[in-house]
Amino acid sequence: MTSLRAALGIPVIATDTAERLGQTAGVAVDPEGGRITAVHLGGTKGSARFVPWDRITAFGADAVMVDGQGAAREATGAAEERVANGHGDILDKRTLTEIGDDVGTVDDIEFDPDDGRVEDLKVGELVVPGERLLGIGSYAVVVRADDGEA
Amino acid sequence: MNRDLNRVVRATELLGEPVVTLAGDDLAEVRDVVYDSEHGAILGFTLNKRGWFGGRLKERLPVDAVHAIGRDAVMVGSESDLVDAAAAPSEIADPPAKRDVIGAVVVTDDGTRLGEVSDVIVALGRGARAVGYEVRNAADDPKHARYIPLPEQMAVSGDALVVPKEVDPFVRDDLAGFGAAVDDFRAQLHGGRPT
Repeated sequence: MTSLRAALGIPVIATDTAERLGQTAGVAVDPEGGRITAVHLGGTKGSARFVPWDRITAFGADAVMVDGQGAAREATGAAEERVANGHGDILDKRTLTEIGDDVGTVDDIEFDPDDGRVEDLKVGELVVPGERLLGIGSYAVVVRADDGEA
Repeated sequence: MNRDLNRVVRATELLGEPVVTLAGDDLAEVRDVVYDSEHGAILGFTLNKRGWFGGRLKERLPVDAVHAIGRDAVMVGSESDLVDAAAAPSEIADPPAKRDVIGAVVVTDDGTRLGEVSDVIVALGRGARAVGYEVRNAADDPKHARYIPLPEQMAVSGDALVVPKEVDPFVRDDLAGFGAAVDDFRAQLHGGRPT
């Protein structure tokens, strides 16, 4: 398990040329699949700021290795466009249950560095399993309520 | 969080609450709750735009489209759940002011006057359900509010809101535990024993 908070700001490096594409600035998450679908790059020169998950060869503790210099592309799809517009970040966003209760802000997420699966959301004292993710919007992260809560 | 003790909210506390989709986008905020006192039912919500300079939205939120009412947000499935006023049922497209329940007198069916409605109590959770009235007695002590559970089915009434006399032991002086009082009252009306 990897902490997203700890994985921000590390270099993203192409394995073929050993060139640095930028550093990790965030991630795009598909709430339905409960997976990180792309890494958002900071410190890039151009507008190619998203590396889709399948171009990542290793998500290490100190660097993210990608399969080539061409791994980064422009924001593609709704989740990445939200991140590009500053609305899609999951960290520090308020968390609502689907029954409309604010349970705190997302302090961190833990994910599987092999497949990008979101394992847990850390919301204050709460640990919300990734399967409960319903949406990541401009206003809130929405999670399914605990059984029995509704 | 102790939701069991706080499963209800005053309708007026919902005013200004954001209307949020399950995808996490805020669409509007609650301008008013449209309530049908004859049937004891919430019909829907009129809406304001989000933000300080909001102003009215022409869209309405019909009750059937409400996913849940929470302490912090009214949840809907998606943006398509808001309907244009022109397409909305007339009761929520253009709620008649005279239907305002605030100030209406609540009496039991054996003729005891319980007070005047100062708020409608709404259940938190899925759907949008009215479960009681907050009443005050202007003649007696206007600061003192009491909470009257509503039966699930209301008799159509005229000028006064008539509730079954069986409500008496379930009237509460505060909202803590009121959700349970509503459940017990309704269970009794159904011939069951209070749980």
